[in-house]
Amino acid sequence: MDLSLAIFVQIIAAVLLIIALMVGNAVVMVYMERKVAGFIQRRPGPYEVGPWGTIQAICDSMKLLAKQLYRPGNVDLILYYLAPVLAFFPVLLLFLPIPFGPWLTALHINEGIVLILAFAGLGVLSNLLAGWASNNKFSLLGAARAVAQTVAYEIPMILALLAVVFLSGSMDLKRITEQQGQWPWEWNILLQPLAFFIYLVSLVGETNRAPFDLPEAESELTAGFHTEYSGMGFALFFLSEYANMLLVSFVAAVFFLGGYKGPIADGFWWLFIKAYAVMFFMVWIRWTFPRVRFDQLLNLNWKWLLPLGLLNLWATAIIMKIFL
Amino acid sequence: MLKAIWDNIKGLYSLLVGMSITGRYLLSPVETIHFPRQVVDDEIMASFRGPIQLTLGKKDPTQTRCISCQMCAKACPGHCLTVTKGDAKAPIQWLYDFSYCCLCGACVETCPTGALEFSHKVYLVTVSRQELILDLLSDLKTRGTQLGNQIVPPVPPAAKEASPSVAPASPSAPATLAAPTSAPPAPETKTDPPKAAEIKPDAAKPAQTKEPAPASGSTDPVAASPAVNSATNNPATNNPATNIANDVKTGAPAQSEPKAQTVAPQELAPATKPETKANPVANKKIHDHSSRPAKKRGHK
Amino acid sequence: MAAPEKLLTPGEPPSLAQAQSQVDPPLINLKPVNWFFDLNRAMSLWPVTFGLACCAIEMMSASMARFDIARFGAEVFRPSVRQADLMMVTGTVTRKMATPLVRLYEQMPAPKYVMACGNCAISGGPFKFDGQYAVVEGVDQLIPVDVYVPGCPPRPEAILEGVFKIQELITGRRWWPLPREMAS
Repeated sequence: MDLSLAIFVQIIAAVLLIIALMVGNAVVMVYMERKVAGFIQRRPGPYEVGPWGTIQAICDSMKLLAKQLYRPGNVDLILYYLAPVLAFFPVLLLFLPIPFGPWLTALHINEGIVLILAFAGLGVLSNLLAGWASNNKFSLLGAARAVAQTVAYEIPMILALLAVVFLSGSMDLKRITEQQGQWPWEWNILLQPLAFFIYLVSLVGETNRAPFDLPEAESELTAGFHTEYSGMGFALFFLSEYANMLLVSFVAAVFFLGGYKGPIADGFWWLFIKAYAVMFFMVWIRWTFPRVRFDQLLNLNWKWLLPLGLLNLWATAIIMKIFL
Repeated sequence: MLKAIWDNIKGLYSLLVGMSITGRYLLSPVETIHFPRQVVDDEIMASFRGPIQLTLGKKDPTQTRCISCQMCAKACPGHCLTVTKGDAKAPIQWLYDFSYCCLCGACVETCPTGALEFSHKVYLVTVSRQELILDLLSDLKTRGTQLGNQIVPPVPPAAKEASPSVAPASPSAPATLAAPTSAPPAPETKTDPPKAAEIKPDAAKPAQTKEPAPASGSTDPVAASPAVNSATNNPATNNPATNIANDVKTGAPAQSEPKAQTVAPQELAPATKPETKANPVANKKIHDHSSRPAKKRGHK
Repeated sequence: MAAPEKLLTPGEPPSLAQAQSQVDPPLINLKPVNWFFDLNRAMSLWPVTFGLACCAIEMMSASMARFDIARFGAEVFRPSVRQADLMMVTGTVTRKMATPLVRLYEQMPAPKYVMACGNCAISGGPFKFDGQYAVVEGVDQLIPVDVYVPGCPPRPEAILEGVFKIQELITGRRWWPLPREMAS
């Protein structure tokens, strides 16, 4: 049928664009992270390679591309090669429901958020596979921590997003965006500040970013689950981490910050600005706080975020039923 | 339990404090010195202990003051130094394996003639271990020749203010050791006016001043010897250029300034012979540490 | 490999171990491609945190705000050797550390470079004397070294110059201006 062919072509084009977006995002994020880290530490970061160090990320990726093809002995071959691929490609799927602009949604489905939350779990699988296949007890420890952490932090994330779904009455990302206004005081963040806070914390925990970066804790596990990866495998893990960050930032922007709506003109630029503001915030957090202990991490989730999320949801439901 | 909850909520404030600190640093100017386009101040480099080098000779900057007594080689805890004595006192080969050196300074302190000093070669990087066995005699030759070839730099401000105190003393003490810092210029001031005017002494002038040269030259090592413990306090060949590096703020640069202008590499060879034989008694004061400035301890 | 076991015998001087540093030539061995990748490798050298002793402080200082090694691309100090290119051996290599050092060197994927910082890493430094049994006299007894940065310890600028020298060895030219030497 014509309609399904059109949708098929649309999806293929969207996937190609999203791959370009992910690669471009990785380049920009590498540069942004190193520059922000530098300026927080009162040094310039990459500066000499290219004008103000802009070519640095490309140099890094080219170098990683040209490393020796390396496989340690005694690893589980299939799993070892599958893990980085599994880290990188499913993230593509998660970008499809996001409304980039008023008419720029790759796949307009009614349960957009369900798709995103369901497939975000695949990232956990890749971490676990990487740790297991490396045949290295420290990598396995890193992988076990990663699984525990990601599974734990998905729940407050769901609860926070559910509160916004209650408010909007729909799980469709486009409708959630449409129900927010142009100006900052019309965004969902004012109606659900606690949910936003819970979502921010679980965002950092979900993507294994500091201060919750125990799976790849440098001083404890020498790079954790991706210790044994070099060259392109490592680059794929790196890329998938930044793509995950971008995805959850997009979701935060859509749910709490008004999506593509902005003061002057609606469009995809507002979404990008808001998402990169959230990511800047994540980088800022990374270079401010020390790493938490693993039991503190899980305590924070199960004893604080989960009850708060439930309370928030309950309060939202009551207020909506009684007053709205 | 409510108190526990309230304590935890108050703890969130510390997170905000942390973020504000890093946020403030984010907006502060960077502190980086963009090496290699910029380098740190010379003051800091002056206290850096680089590989040791032979100090410039008193009369001839390319000749070392070393007398091959092997005190440094014995004092060195890392056995870095190999000094090969020639027929005369001066060494014919001076090898220094920098890769065993711990920069303790025992050799610099022990040397009786003040022939050693720390250089400030910060940027020494090699691709083989053999390149780290430094031949100090050829290095001295290079530096001494460069010194002879360069234009005498302007007098540093410290020397300018010290020179009035030194100059009046010089005519009064022609060849005594009472005031070691003022003795050397005494005989030289006679030859100063004709020499001070020229930057590069030519061959004619040294021939004319040959007669006063032995007489004045005889006082050179003598007068210099009480102060030879610190290599750069030697007024004979002190050049303000080298002294900036060694951060000397004594009067030595002041009196060395006319001396440096008068001394040229070409005229020194015949003057060396009478130097060593003159006034052996005065050489007994070589371990007088009172006149030694404290600057050699490596502090800025 | 046999050499690490030999090192564990006290009193016996360590021999130059044939660390497995032979790598097959690249799959695509064209000159312009090699030149391009060499340039990228030189501009993005990732060191491995291999600070052993006091020279490690200078390495850390070189990565801090005042002398920023990140300006030249070497910011990312990877703790895992499999993701690093440059092994900066900073500090004294004891015989106990010799075995892990060689093992880590062999685990680094090619192309890899080694910089020996400080007199202890170059030759045992001040810890070499007759009858000593603790220190490996120079890391080049164990693994092939590309650049030697002497000093006790070398200044952070010297470590940066060592990185420049490695870049020069990789690409064939020096990319940054020469620093102004002090008048000495």
